[in-house]
Amino acid sequence: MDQPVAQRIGPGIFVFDQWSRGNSAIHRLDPRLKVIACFLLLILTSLWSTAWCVFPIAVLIAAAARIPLLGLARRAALVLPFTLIFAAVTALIGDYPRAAALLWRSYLSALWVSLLMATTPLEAVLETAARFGVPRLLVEVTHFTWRYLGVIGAQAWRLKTAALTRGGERSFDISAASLAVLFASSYARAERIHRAMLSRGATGENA
Amino acid sequence: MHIPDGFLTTPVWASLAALSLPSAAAFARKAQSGLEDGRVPLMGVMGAFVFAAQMINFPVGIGASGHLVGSALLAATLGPAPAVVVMTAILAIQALIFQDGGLLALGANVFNMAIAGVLAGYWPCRILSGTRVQMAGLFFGGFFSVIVSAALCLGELALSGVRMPAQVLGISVVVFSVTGVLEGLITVAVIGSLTRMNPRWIREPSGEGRRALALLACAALLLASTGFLIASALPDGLERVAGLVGIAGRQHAVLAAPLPDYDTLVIDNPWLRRATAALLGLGVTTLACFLVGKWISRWRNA
Repeated sequence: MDQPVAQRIGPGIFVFDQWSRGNSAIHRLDPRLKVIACFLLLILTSLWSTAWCVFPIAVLIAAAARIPLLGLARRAALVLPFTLIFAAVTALIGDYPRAAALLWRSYLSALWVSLLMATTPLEAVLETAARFGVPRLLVEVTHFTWRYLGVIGAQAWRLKTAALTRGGERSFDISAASLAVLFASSYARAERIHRAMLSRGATGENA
Repeated sequence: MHIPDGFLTTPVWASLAALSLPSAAAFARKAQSGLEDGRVPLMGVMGAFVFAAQMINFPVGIGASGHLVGSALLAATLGPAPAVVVMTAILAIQALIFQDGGLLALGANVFNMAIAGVLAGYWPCRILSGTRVQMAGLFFGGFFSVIVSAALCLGELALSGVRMPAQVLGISVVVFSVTGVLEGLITVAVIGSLTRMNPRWIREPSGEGRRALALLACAALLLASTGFLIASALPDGLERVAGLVGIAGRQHAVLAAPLPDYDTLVIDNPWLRRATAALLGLGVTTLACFLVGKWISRWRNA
């Protein structure tokens, strides 16, 4: 096992967590400013038909924030599988300009979001969202989901390994039973977490 | 079926974001009052559960396998409003950290998968709950949640000008049907195992006599989303309908009277009119079915 179990849920899921704890001038900017800038750049990318010429700005920001360029480019490339299918279909019916636009637009947009997440911790982004009017409950649930993704993911991995060692991977019923066990233990874990929060004096209005 | 940024045109993503944000907020308020203690930890951990559940593969025949999507399962166990909140949180994490779906397109994705997907997954369970074919409700819940999300997604893409030839559309309909059947089977199997473990996890839908409302709402959602798909796949037909209703900019005396400035409001852009017509149609259909359903349920209860 060369990588932590939770990393198997997605490629390098904690890479943004590492990058966003950096200490450059861009990291220290007000998160609200960065979120607004990200949205403005996204809108610019979606409206301006030659927005690909602002691509060097992304490189400059990444360099200023001292984020590995290749790693960032790889993160943004996660958007490509979906895009490639649609670009291929669009190219197939002869609409080459649109196919090209789909490719660079979605890649550049993914790059802006990656830059935001690489320079701003998730909790700061969520806090900003709450300040801009996203319901508090939604923000807290999102935060909890991210917090427990690693925990439940590791458990799912153990269940899967256990099923494999018993030769149960190829059975629909065993997969369903594994999921039911995972559900039950997640439910129990949520109750334990809630009691633990209360006993430590959690006063959040939604606790 | 997470739409990335750069696919939807501004009016499409902006109007869907304007629709989803208040709806998600309304569902959040409902979830806050509906569940007992420990709501935030429960919903958060369930979000992580749905994420992690994607690691467990379900074999389907020759080498292929699928995984749980989760809207119907969440709707049956947590109730519809918390399920919408959990799915929205999952979509937000996917957009921010996994580049799975765009940030501008988040409103559209929330509408397709969190709101429409969960409701399409919930209503069939609701209609058939308490009857002998309860499990069929769960199956159709899983099936419809996938189909409705996919139809809405393809419809929005078509509205934004991402056209697909008929053959490709046919193939994707087959793929979605298979995914939907698989989701239905997984939902039934998991809920079956859960009921054997502890029946208290499956929420009993409350309130009798609202079955007619649920049935109508379900039909409305299905009709609206397939109509949306067909209408955007065949823009000429929709243009004609739009022309008949007066949205296409023609001065129809009857309809133009209440909205005298309508022509100046609508930019002279053919597919923007199409988008407005489609979204308006979707909204009107849903509202009409909702009102009729409400009226029927009141009449039945009286």
